[in-house]
Amino acid sequence: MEPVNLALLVSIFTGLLILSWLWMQYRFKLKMRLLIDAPGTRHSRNDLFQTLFEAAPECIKLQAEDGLIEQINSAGLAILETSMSSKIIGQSIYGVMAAEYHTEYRHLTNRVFKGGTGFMEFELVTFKGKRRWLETHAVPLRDEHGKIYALLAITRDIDKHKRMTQQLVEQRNRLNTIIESEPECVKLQDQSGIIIEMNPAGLALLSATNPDGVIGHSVYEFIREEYQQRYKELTSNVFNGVRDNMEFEVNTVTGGRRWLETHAAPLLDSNGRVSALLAITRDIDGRKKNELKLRNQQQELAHMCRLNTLGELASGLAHELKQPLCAISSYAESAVMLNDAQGCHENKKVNDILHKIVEETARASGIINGLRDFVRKSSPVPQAIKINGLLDEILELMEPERRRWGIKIDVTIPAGLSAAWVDRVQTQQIMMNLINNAIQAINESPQSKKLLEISVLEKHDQLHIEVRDFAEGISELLRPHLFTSFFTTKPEGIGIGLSLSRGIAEAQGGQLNYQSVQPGSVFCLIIPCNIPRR
Amino acid sequence: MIGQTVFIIDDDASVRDALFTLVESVGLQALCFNCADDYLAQSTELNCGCVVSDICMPGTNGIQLQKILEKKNTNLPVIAMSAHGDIPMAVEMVRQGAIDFIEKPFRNQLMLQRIYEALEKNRQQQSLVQKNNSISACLQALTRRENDVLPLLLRGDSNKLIAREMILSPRTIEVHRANILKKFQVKSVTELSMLVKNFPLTLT
Repeated sequence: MEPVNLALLVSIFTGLLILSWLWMQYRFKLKMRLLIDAPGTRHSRNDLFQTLFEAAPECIKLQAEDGLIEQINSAGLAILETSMSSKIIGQSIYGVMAAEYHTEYRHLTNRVFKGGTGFMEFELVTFKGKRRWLETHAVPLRDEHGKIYALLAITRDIDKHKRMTQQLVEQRNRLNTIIESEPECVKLQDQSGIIIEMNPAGLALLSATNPDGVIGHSVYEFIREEYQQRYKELTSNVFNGVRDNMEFEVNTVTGGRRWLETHAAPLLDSNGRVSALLAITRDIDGRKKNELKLRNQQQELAHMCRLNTLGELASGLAHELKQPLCAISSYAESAVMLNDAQGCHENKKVNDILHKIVEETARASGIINGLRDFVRKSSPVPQAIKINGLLDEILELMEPERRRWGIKIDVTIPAGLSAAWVDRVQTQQIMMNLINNAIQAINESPQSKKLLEISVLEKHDQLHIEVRDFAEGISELLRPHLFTSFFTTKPEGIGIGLSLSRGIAEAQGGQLNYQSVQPGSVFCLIIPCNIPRR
Repeated sequence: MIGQTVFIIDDDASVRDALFTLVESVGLQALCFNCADDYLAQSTELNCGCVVSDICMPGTNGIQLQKILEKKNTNLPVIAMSAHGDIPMAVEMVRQGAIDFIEKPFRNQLMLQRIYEALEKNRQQQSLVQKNNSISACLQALTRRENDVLPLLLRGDSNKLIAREMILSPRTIEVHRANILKKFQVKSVTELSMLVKNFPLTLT
C-alpha cells in the first residue's frame, strides 16, 4: 500500500470521526430541542435529560405563565404525596398552593416571564391534605428565538427546616418573654465588659429609661470604682468557664447609688466555647442598708458599752487610787507636824518638800475627780458656774495631752462675765471634746501653728465660747455632715463626739456651731447665762 | 474605863496607818480596826472618844455602823470618810448625826479639827451623862415628902406658900428645904435649879 493511500485513508477516517461527532452533537441537541420544544411530551424516553430530570432529588417542574404545570418529576410528585402525574400535570399550581401565597407567587411568575429570576418560600397543601413548606427557585426557559415559553422551577422541601426555624423563633420569643418579664436583671456581656443585652428589669436597676444608654456601653461605666477590680476577676472566671457571684455598688444613670448582687455564668456557643457572660442581678439595696444600719447601731451600742465600762473602771480606779493618795498626803503632813513638834526648824527644806507632796496628791486627786465626773452618767443639773473655773478644770485635765504634743493654749476671758447656767460635767464634756478635736486637727496638719485659742464673749445673756485652731479646717464637702452621728474622718473614731456635744448643748438651751476661718476652724459653744426665764 | 480614844476603822491598811500616825503625833490615843464588825465586837468597852470610819467597807459599812451605835446609845461621834465623794451618801451620814463627812484624801489639819470637835462633843456628853447619873442618885435619896416639895421649891415658891399648899407648917417646909439642898450638895435653890435645868424630872 502506498503512503499516499495511507494518508488518504487516515484523513478519510478522521473526517468520518469528526462527522460522526458532529452528528452526535446534532442528535443530542436535536433531542434536547425536541424535549424542550415539545412540552406536551409525556412519555419520557430513557435518555440523559430524562434520567437527570427523574433522578434529581428535588422537584423540578415546568410551568406556564398562567400557572398550569406542564411537567414535573417524581420528586415533585413525592412532595405532593401522589404517584400519579396525571393528578397534577395540566393542573394549576394554585390548586395545591396555600391561598395566602398566591399573590406573591403571581408576582414571581410575572417576573420570571419578564426575564428575571425569583425565589420564594410558600406552603403547599398535598393531595393528602398536609401543609408543607417549600422553597422554590424559578428561572425562565427560552426557545431558540429567545422567547420565554415556560418557567422552570426547582423546588425543595424545607418543611423540616422551616418547622425547626419556626420552633426556634417560638422558643426564642418565649425565652425573650420570660427574660423581659423577669423581675431580676438579666444581662449578657462580652469579655471586655460591653453589655450586649439587658432586660427591662436590668434597666430599671440602673434607673435607665432608654436602653441605648446602657446596651452597648461598658458595665464599668456603672460599677463603682472600688468594685471594678473584683468584677474583672469575676468576668475572667466566667470566661474561663467558672460561675461566680459578687456584691457591688453601682452608680445609676440618674446619679444615685445602689447595692446589687450578681450571679454570673458562662454562655456557651455550639462549639462549647464561652461566647458571653450571662448574669442575673438583683437589687439588695434594702438589705445592705439594713445591714449598715444594724452595724451602726452595733457600733453605737459598743460605744455605749465602752463608755459604761470606762465609767465603771474610772469609778473603781478613782477609789483605789485615792486610798494610797490619802495615805501619802496624811503621812507627809504628819511628818511636817513631827518636825515642827521636835523643833527641827533647820529642816525647812524638808518641810517644803513635804508640803509639795501634799499639794501634788491634792492635784492628783483633783484629776481623778475630774475623770470620774467626766465619765459618770448623770442627768443634767444646771447650776450657776463661773466659766473661768470650768475652763481651768478642763485645761488641767487636758494638760498631759497638750504637753505631749507641744501645743500652746491661749485663753482669753474678759473680767466681769456673768455665770453660766449649765450642767458642769456635761459642759466640760463638750469643751473637752472640742479641745481634743482641735489638738488632733493640729497634729494632722504639719503646717499648722501649734496654737489653740479659747475665748469667751458675753452676748445677749449668752456666753460664746470659741475654740479656734489653725489647722487645715474642714472641707466644704464634709461640713454638712459634721454634726451627724457616726460621721467621722478619724480611722478609729466612731463619729459620735460632735453630734453628742451638740445634743448636750441644745438640751441645756445652748448651741454648738462651726465656722470656717482662714486658716483653721472655729467651734463656738453658746450657753445660757444666769437662771433661764421660765 | 480607858480615856478618850480615836477608833480608826478602814479596810485600807495604809490609810489606817496614816491616820494612826496622825492621831498619835498629837498625843491622842488611837485604836485601829480593819472592819466595822471588829470594832462592834468590842464597842461596849471601847465607848469613849470618837470613831473615824470609812464608808465603803466589806461587812458592815459606815452608815450601818452609825445606826448601830445610835441604837446602843453610846454617844460616840462618828467622822465618816470616803474616797467616792458621793454627795447623797454624805448627806445621809450627816443627817444621821455623823459629825462630818470628809473626802479622801483629807488634809490632816481638817481631820484633826474634826477629831477634836468629836472628842469635845463626846466629853460633853459623857459629863452630861455623869451629871444626870448623880442627879438621879440624889433624887433616889429624897424621901417622899421631899420629893413632893422639890417641884414647888424649883417653881420659886416661898416656904409659906408651899406650907399653905401642902397644908403643913412653914417650919416643916423649912426642914425639907434644908434636907433637899444638903442631899443635892448645893447651897441655894438657884444653884439647884441650875443643876437640874436640863434633867428630865419625872416628879410625882
